[in-house]
Amino acid sequence: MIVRRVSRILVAGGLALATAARAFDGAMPVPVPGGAHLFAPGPTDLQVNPSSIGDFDGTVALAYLKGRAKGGDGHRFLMQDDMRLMTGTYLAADGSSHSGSFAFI
Amino acid sequence: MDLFEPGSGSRFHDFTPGVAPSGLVWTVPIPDAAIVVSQGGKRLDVDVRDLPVIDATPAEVPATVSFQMTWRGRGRARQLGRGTAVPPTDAAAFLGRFFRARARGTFSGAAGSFTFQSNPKRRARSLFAELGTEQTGALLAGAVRCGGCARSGPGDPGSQYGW
Repeated sequence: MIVRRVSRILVAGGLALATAARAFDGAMPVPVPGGAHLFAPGPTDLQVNPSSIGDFDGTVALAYLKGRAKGGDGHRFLMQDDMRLMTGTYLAADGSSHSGSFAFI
Repeated sequence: MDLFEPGSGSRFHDFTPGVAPSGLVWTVPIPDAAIVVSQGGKRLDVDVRDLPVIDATPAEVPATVSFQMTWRGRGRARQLGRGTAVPPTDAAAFLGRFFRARARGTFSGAAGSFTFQSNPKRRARSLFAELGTEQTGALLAGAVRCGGCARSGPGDPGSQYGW
């Protein structure tokens, strides 16, 4: 199991709120307990929470992807992504219950 | 969503929602309608267009990303996690029912004058993927019940799939 500790960019909450979805009511979910981090399941250790949000009840999809991409100027890149989706019920920081969908990018 | 220079491995672009002051990592809301779960939870399709993020490399600039992906579960779901038997900060502090899966997708993005598009003919594919349902934290009270799921303990992770 790998615990990914995050020490990079802090972005104002406004960015996330600016992407408000149709059903999203503005209440952001809480993080996974233990600070700014998340867990990385697989490929052998599956007893690891794949969600990037805490206090959650719903569907989770996780994929570690590899592919190729091309820039608009024709430059070629390798692409590696850790993509996760969460859709369901979650609790906000004040304990209130909400429904919504989120992408971990 | 990271783009690397072939050969050197240097990261050229890093499209990310960032880390919220709350500690929520790289997670951003998307429309509920962007996600479709079907086949009894064994398939998930997502179609997200022009999601506002930032490109953090080489300098932070406003950006957008789009992605279309499909997860397809394989085999039988298995129950995972240890729920409240472990501390809330433990990696196993969840209860879930997950399929091992395969995922594929196409991605595109823009940051200023820079744009990229993943290969639409050879879609990006998963090295590892899983798909399922879970409960965590305060919502663990109504623990997942799945009598038909394969069961295994922490000592034999992945045994069902021969990993």
